[in-house]
Amino acid sequence: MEIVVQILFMLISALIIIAALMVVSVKNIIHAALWLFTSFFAVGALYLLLEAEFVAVIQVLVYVGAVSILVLFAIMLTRHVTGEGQNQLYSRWWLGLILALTLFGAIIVPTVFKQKWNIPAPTVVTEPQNAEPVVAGVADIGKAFMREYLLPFEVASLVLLVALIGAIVVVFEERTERRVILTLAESWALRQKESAKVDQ
Amino acid sequence: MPSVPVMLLFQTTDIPRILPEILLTVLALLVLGSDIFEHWANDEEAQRERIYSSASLTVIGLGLIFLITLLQSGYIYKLPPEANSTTLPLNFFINVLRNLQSGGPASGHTLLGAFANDDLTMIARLIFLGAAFLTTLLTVDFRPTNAPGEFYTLLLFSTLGMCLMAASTEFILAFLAIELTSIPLYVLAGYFQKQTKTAAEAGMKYLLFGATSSAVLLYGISLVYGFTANALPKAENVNDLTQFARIAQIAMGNGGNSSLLTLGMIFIIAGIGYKVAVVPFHSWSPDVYQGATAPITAFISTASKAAGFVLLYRVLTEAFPSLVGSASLALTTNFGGWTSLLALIAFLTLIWGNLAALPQTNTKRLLAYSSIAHAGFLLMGIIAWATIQPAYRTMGISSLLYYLIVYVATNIGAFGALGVVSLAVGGDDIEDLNGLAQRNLGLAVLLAVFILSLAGIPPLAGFFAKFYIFMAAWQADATWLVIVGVATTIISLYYYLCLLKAIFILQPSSSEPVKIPFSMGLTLVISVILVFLLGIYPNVILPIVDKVQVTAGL
Repeated sequence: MEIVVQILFMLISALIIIAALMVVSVKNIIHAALWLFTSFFAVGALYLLLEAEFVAVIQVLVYVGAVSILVLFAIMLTRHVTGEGQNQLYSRWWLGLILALTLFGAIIVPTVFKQKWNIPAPTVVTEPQNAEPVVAGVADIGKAFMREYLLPFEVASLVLLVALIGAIVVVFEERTERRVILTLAESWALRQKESAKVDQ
Repeated sequence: MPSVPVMLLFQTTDIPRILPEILLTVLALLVLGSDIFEHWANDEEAQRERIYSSASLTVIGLGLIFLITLLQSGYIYKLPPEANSTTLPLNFFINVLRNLQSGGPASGHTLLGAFANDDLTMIARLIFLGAAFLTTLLTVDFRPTNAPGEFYTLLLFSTLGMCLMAASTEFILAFLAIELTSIPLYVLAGYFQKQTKTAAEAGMKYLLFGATSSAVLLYGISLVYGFTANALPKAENVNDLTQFARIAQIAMGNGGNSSLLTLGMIFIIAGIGYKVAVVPFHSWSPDVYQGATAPITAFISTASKAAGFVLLYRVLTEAFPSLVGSASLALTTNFGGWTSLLALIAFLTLIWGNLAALPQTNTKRLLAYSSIAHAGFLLMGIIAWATIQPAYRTMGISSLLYYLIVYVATNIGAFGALGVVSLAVGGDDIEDLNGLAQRNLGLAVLLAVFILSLAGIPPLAGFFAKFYIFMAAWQADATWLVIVGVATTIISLYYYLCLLKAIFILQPSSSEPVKIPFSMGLTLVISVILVFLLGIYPNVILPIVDKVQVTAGL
């Protein structure tokens, strides 16, 4: 059983890493976005592996569901503004790679491996109805928000509010300067009109 | 679910303890909401009226909150304890004051283990509220025409985040507070993108660097959490593993010397180091300071930096007292631990900040490097913790706070004066300061006072602040760092004097007088009074700053 979990973990982690690498290296921005959702989805699978079902569901709902759609919309609406097909990597990307690998290989990995992890041996639950669930469920999370984590919970709501206001302020355009964003039908009609003009 | 101790839950009596934060939230929402009732139109007059109404509400509100916090702190007048209360007439106001002061600073008590309500928090709150007050006065004449209500709301929320940052004794709240501070600042840095072309770039750079630093900080926190959760005997259902005091306790119980904990701490120092712009992590600050408008630069370079330093102090002294190490270079002592790391960072910061300031031609960029150099001095106040004597540790934090207060007053004044010049002349280069004395002598003298105070010339506050912090670092055996500090101070005189030369000696390009708008003039006058008062008579602040209790560690 444990070996299966290990293999699953390896597979999911590899997927996350490869997807994340693809996000920053592919040239097509839509492909980058799609790789990003793959990465989000794999992280959700990782949560599931950790038996954090609620967090996994929220991850899929919020990141894969909402954030990715927003990202795609943003790309589609601003596509003619940003340069397409530009190389995402700057010329000295290998320097960054070497630095990151050195930091990871020489400092982080040895330290994490040196640490004696006292991971409790997996216990087989014989009487499920009596045992307290170790993994926090939705009810426990809700209680914790209203009790021990009341202050961070309130501050988090303020952070969300601020982010909302900030986003609106940044993208808000005065009516006179608003850029017209055409729907597909409108742009098609416009193209038809232009081609008709060229024909004449 | 195991029952939580009753003390850990939020109580009604805790409300006065977070009163300033509650008031700030209410004020921010009020400013946001009141903007709806203004006259929205595109003509000049209506726009100005809309900005003035938001700004005046913010200024009045911040002033009131400052006064309430000052009353609550009891630094001016503290009601005698209950036993002697018969000497006082029992009336409504006395009761209100008593209730207010019941939430005053009390060391050793934390709300939900996450929010310390001690003297450090109180003094830090007063610094941030004062800085926000002065900044708001500066912003009015820069005309945040694009949604002024939101502009001041973001400023207020950022102040709220700083108060929480200074008070947090737990990593989750600390991280959220950092985000609450930073997100409005990213937007504010890019706010005047119509007036200044560079503002949008500044905001974007600030956002990218800030996001990276948050990731680094979170990684460090997760490593520390891994350590504490692992050190416990078995998988218990505990919720206090992110609290600073608990981390210190577990680290001590575990021999206090784990490489995993050290690695986490280094990442945390790097993450907060980005926010306070010390040298390996400073590269965003000159671009952002130059690109953002002067009042916003003043706010970012003072209040946000002060909040970062208070948080850094709290994290290091409360969560990692076991890794303190020593800042002394002598071989007998153990060079290692966070004081040595900070000493190294301070050394680099002092050298690089001062040397890179020399060739600058833009005043805001120059002051950005000068403010990086000041971060090096500020680190010395934290390094003073390396000594074992509690008296010297107290001196470290009180010198840090004194320096922060002086630095906030001076830098807001300096950036405010530069803002006046850039409004009148339309540029931030040193050449634009040429012959300022002939165009407005008063402004020239004010700016000169701020520059001299930044340089640390004796009768002004900057001198005493530097002297005090050098003394604290000296007691902590960081003699070499003090020598570097003094040497770089002398280097810094060169570029400060270059500014003075431009102001007083060089000839102006036009003789048209520079006008100081009223509200900006008010900020400059308040700052200059503070700079003189704190320099000539530091005893106003010192007894208050000395009240900060050094928490028992080691």
